[in-house]
This record gives sequence, C-alpha cells and structure tokens, in this order.
Amino acid sequence: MFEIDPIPNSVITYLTSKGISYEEILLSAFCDRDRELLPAQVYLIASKDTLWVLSGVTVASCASASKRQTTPSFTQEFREIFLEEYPISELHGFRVEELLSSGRLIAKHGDTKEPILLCAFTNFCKASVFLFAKYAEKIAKGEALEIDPKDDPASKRCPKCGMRYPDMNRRVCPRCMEKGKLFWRFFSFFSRYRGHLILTVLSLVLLTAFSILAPYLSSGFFYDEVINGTGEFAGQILTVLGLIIATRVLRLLATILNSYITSNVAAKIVYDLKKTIFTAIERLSLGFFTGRQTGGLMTQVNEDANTIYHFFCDGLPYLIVNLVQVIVLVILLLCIEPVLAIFALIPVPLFMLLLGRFFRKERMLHAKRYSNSRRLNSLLSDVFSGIRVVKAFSKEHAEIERFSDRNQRLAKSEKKLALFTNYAWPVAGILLYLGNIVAWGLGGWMVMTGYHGLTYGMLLTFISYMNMVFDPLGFFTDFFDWTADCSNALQRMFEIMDAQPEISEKENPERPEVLGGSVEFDHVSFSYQKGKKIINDVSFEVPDGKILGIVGHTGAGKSTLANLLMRMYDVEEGEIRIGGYPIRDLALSSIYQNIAIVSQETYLFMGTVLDNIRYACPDATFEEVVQASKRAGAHEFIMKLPDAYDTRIGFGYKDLSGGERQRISIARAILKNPKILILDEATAAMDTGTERKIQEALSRLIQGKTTIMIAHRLSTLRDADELIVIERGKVVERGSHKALLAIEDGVYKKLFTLQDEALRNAGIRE
Amino acid sequence: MKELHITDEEKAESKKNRTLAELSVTVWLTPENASFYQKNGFLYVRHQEQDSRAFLCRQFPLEMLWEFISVLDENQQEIGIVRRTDLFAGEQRELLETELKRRYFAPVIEEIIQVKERYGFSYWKVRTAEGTLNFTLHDTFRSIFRAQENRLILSDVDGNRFEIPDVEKLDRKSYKKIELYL
Repeated sequence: MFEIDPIPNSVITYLTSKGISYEEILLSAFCDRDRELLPAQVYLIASKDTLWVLSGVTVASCASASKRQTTPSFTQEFREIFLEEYPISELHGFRVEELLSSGRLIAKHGDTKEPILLCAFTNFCKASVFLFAKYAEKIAKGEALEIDPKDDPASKRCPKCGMRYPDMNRRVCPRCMEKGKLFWRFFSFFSRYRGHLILTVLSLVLLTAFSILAPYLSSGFFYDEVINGTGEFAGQILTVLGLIIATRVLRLLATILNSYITSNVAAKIVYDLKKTIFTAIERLSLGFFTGRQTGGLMTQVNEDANTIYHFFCDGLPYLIVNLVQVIVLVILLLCIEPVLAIFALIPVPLFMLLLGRFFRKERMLHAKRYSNSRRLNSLLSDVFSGIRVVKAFSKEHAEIERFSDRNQRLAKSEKKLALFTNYAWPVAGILLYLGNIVAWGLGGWMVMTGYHGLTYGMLLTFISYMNMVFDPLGFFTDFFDWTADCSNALQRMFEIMDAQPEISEKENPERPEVLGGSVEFDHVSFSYQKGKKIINDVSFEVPDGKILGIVGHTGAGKSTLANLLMRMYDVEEGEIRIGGYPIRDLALSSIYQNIAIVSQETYLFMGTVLDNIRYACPDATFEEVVQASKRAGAHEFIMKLPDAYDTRIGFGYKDLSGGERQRISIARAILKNPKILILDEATAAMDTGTERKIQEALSRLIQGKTTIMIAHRLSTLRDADELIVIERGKVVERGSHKALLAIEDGVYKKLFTLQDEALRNAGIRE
Repeated sequence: MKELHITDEEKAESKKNRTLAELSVTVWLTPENASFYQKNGFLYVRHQEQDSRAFLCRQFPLEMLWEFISVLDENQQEIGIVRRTDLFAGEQRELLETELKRRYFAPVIEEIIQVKERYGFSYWKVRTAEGTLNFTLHDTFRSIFRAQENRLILSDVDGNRFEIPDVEKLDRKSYKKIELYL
C-alpha cells in the first residue's frame, strides 16, 4: 500500500462502515478542496478494482463528564458529503491540470473523449495529487504498484518533527536544525587557526586587564593614595604618573598586538571560507544552478564568508572578553560598595529592554533604506542599459520623473533613519545617565557620611567601572541577531558543502581509452518538473561519424536532448549510450572529453582571445591555436584586433560581435577535437552573411565526427544523414531530408515550406 | 446540446495550420457568436459551431479582473477574447466569473497573526475568510509582490497565492508585521 497522505482513523472507521476494508486500499492521497474549490477534506482512495473520491468533514463530538468519567472525552467523527466510486480499470489518462494556486485531477472514463473531474486542490496538495495520478494510472493499467523510492513522502518531511521541508531542494527543517551542532562543526573548521584565535583572546584579555587597571590608577588610587597625603604613595606623584603612563602604553601595545593578529588571520580565513564555498558549489550539477539566481550565489560566496568571519573573529572573542569584563566589573562594584552597586545598576535591565526595541526599529529603517536604494539602483542600471530605447521613444522626462520618485523615497527613508539614530541613542543614554546620577548622589552622600568607609577616590573608581559595564551593553543586545545571521550563513554553507550532486559517477566507472562516437537514445524520458515530461519516450541512434539533425518548434525539447547527452541531467526512464557504453557507467571526464558543444549562447570568459580558445585544452601549442582559428574562420578578424591573440576580451574590455564570439567558440571546439559534436542552434542569431561564414567553419569542424545538429533554420540541416522531428518531447517524424519532404502533410514538410516561402518573400534564396 | 464533433487530433492539426495572418486577427467573443456552458464540472465554449473546453486567462490580471479575458482551448490556443464579462448576461456571466475566480484563486488575508523569520524563510500564520492558514515564504522580499499601490500578492514556496487587497487597511498589528517587507 502506498499512503501518499495518511488516512486518519476517523476516515478508516467511516470506510469500514461502508464495507471498504483498509487492507484492500492500495493508494491514498488527500486534497484540501472540493470540485468547486471550496474548503473540504477529500480523500482519493484506490484499490485494485475501484477508485473512490470521498469528500466530507471531520467533526469532534464531545461526551460530557459523567459520574463514571470525570473529564469530558472527545472523539473525531468523519461525516460524508459525498462518496463516488469508479471501476478503476475503466479510467485512464489521469492528469493534473494546473491553474495558478490550485489544480484539478482529471481522468477519462471508458471510451469517452471528455474528461471527468475527480477533485480540485490548492498547491499545498499538488505534490500528493501528482503522485496519485502517476500511480493510479499504473493501477488502472493493471500494472504492479512498485514505488519509486524518490516518491516516498517520508523523504519530504523532517524525520524528527514531521514538518514538510519548506524547500524540497534544501531538505532542512528550520524547526529542528541544531544550532549547537552547526557552530560545533564550524569550530572544527576553525581548528586550523586555533593558535591565532588563542592569541586573539589572550591579547583581548590583556587589553581588558589594562582597561580595568587604568581607571583605578588614575582615579581612586591617585586620589586616595597620592593626593590625599595619607596614602602609601603620598607625594610620589611622578612614580604614580609613571605607572599610569606605563599602563596606558601597555594597553596600547595590547591593542596593536590584537589588531596585528586579527588582520593577519582575517585574510586567510575569508580566503579559505570563499574557497570552501566556491569549491562546494562548483562540484554540484547543473540542476542546482538552474533553480537559483547567479546574484544569489555570488552573495552566498561573498557575504556569507564575511558574515561568518566577522562573527567568529570579531563577535565571538569580543563577546567572551566583554562577558568576562562585565562579570569582573560587577564583582568589583559589589566589593567596593554593594548597596551603591545595586542602586546604580537598576537602570541596566531597563536599558537593555529599550535598546532591544531601538535595535529592532533601527534595523527596520535600515532595511527600508536598503530596499529603496536597491530600487533606485536597479532603475539606474535599467535606464542606462536601455538608454538607446529611452532616447528613441523620447521618454527622458518620464524616466526623470521615475528617478525623482524613487530618489525621493530613498531620501525620505534616509531622513527617517538619521532622525531616529539622532534622537534614539541620546534617549537611551539618558537612562544610563540616571545610573550615574544615582551613583553620584548616593555615593556622594555615602562619602560625606563615611558610610562603610567609602572614600572619594573609591567613588571615582566606582563610577569609571560602572561606565565600563554600560559600554558593551549595546553589543550584547545586538549579539543575538548577529548569531542568527551567522547561523543562517553557516547553515547555507554547510548545506552546499553537504549537497550531493544529482549527477554522480558510479563506483569504478568505465574510462575507455578510445570511446566510439556512436550515440543511442533508448526510450528516454525526462522532466525538469514533476509531471511535465519534456522528453517522452525518445529513441534514435547516430552511427559513428554520421550527422543527425533535430528539428522542432521552440520548447519542443531539442536542447534538453543535448543536455541529457552531456549528462547535465540524468534521464528518468530509458538509457543513453555513447560508443556502446551507457552514459551512467562512464566516468564524467570520459563523456566531457569526447563531446563538445557549440551553442547559440557563446560564453567567453574574461581574459585574452588565446585563453578563451585554449579553455578546453590549456596545453595546446600556439601553432595548434592558430590552426584551429583558421579552420574556424576566426584568424582573420583576430589579426585585426589591436593585440591579436593577446587582446583582452570580456567585461570592460574589447567587445566582440555575435559572429566573432561564435567563431572563437568554434575554434575552441576544433581545438578540443571531440568524437561527438553538438551544434545547438549555433547560427540562430546570425545574419545570413555571417551565418554562411559560420556554416563554412562548422562544415570543416564536423568532418569525420558524430554530429548532432539542432536548428530551427531547416536549410542548415540539408547535409544531415538523418533528421528527427520533435514535437512536445516526442519523435514524430524521422528520415532523410528528401524522405521527410516526401511525407504528405508531414510536420517537416510544412515547416520547410513555410520557411522557404518566408525567405523567398524576404528576397533571400537559400 | 450539440455533441462535440471534432477530435482532439483534428483540433491540434487545425491549430498547426494557422497562418500568421490568421493568428494576428483578434476574435472578440460576444453573446452573439459564443456561448459558454458547463459539463462534468468543466467550462466549455461553443464558437463558430465548434465546442471545446475553455480555459480563461486574464490578459491584464493586475489591472482588470473582469475585462480582456482570453479564452483558450485545450491546446492553449486562443479561441477569442471576451472584452468584458458583463457583456454576457445571467448564468453565462456567472459561469465566466466563477471560472476566473477558480483560476486566480487567492485567499484574502484579513489579519496577520504571526510572522517568524528563520534561515531565509518566513513562516506566516494568517486569518482568511476560510479560517487560519499557515504558509511559508522563501526570500520574503521577492515573494511579496505589489500588484497595485496598496494591493499585495504573496507567493508561497508551493506556488500558492494570497492577496491583501489594501495593505493600508490591515489592522495596526498586522501592518507592523508586514511593513518590514514592503
């Protein structure tokens, strides 16, 4: 039995009353809406022969307390609204129709073409209903119910608390994530710097000790023991001054030592953190990147490393030292004069409370300011990137207005923030000042009356220490949020470090010395999103050295075939073979070494033309690079560049045209000299003249190689040995150019005729 | 009621054969040339003597709720456009508007009871007309979309949408909870 969602006892009791035994149930799922999309409890239940749709509500009935039972008891009862049943073998074509926030499960009944509506649901239940549709279809077909382990609902919930993971890609339960373990794990990462960290803490301890000693020497000791004339050091002003200066100098040395150690270790830790995160990200499969924004990843690498560093190198040592300092100072205050200490420290908890509120408010104002500044910056970047369009439609005034509006919002939020910081902190300061007033007032009275022998010098020391207690209070209040930020960053870092690449090599993969160039797709199915098959049962083979053309509308799944062949993703069903080896058995390096792709999106890295051509083969000689460029038709324009092969390209340097970039990427592929070549719409964005040149280059590139050409301009596929036409992920036609043109009403023929006519109309003859 | 007389394959075929010129013609659906009806819980349209399932799509979902409604067939090809739902009277209009409400289903948030932010996710407990709901937003700033000056749409991790028709009209406590993300 496969309980996608568990059936509650009240429903089982109800089903039993209707003669449906729990044992006969093979599949069950829960939906939260009825067909009209009104809230309801709908259970989809399937047995070997029947599918039931049960809708109803659970009510709690209460039996009041009686003589025998002292407390009232509650029982849950399921009350039916409707129960429908269908012979499951008569149903087929189970399908989920997705709306925006909701969806419907539909199926076809018998021979009728029209669908029937089984239930509706909100997206909360979408995953369950998709699974139900998948397995109900199998039951309807009389197939055995074999559950794919990936579909196990238990894997989607936290094993500890049962909460569904908020993000299936992360599988982290925010409720149960143990912060302790997180920090402990990170400490082990930091262990390689333990020498530096111990030195940092030591220097901070020294700093604190001198900070505590300094006020004592310059106030209490100086007054009571030197100036007063009765102390042990009476008249030895110079000696004591020397002591005071020495303490200050030692404090300065401790500060310098601390800064030296911190700056030394800082760069190393940030470097290591960034490297760790970057290495972890790089080893992940393409699927990880498609679900995330590049900007987000960059933030992750940069900001997270800084957050973690600041917490562990600034925050934590400072916390430890300040905590020790505050405890020592409070003990000292209590030793100097306990009654005074208790009264003077009364405002501290109040101050902490107020500070907490102020920090929250300030953070909110900062967030608003940040959000407004981000909006303004995005507008600026948008307008400057599209300045030609702005001018062409003479929308300068509209853009200036838009800018003014956002600028004004930013100014307002900045003003609010400035005003707040200007008045909030002085107000909080007054509270602390109250402590000072109490100390001066009560302490003064104690000195005058000789209460507990408190001297003026001791009072001065007391007040200095009291102010030192107040200093780190702000830091303590903010520390909790700092911890939250850091644990967030740590969690993201470990999550990436722990993430398993979706594509992994099997143990001892095949690494054939010579891999054949034949390619076979054997009943391959694949979907990026559950339930939406992008490739559906596709089979074809390309013998070594032959050319296969893939034709189809945009979104038909052509490029996905290329991605699957490169094993950027794993197929869901079927198998892909290269040179007779299933690609799952091959080492990834064997696949990548033998396949090169030239696609419409050419990416050139920042660097020289030479670096870019040699990207795949860094050891290629200069002669080989020039030869490859000549064959790619790139040599000619490269020589016209100011520094020829050493011209720097990329952001902020020489900009190349689309055709030039494409020729460099072809040169890159020629240099790699792969067995299999994928040309994915390689000339799609070119004008006809450039396309001809690229075509020439490509025809030299593909000589003797197994080539898979994906193109929407059909004329470029004439030389293909075989063509397949893909529609909605399926192969609908297959054959040579001539054979496909011979099919009356064929998809290929229609596409070809349409394109041919369009080109004729445009005055272009192919 | 006339039975459906063309097969899915035929329909799909006829769509493929549409030329650009045909596609660029706007077909306005009016009570005179189109009628809507419900069958097995689905909306159907009869237009030019042909019956097909109708999928409604607002062309300007943020600007106009009951105007410029694109009517698509099962292959997501446009049959025509309903300029305004109130052009259709009585039951037909009700059918159209009910179907639109279903498609753009988004519970209206009346009160924000609790928002907890943890590790890049925020956990919301809200009160709607249908009762208390819990949902999770990922990257809260991006998940709250300002549809109009004060109208907000919240999109949760499952793709559910929730609406706040006028954020200024929320009670003070609720407003304070969402203010940070605006």
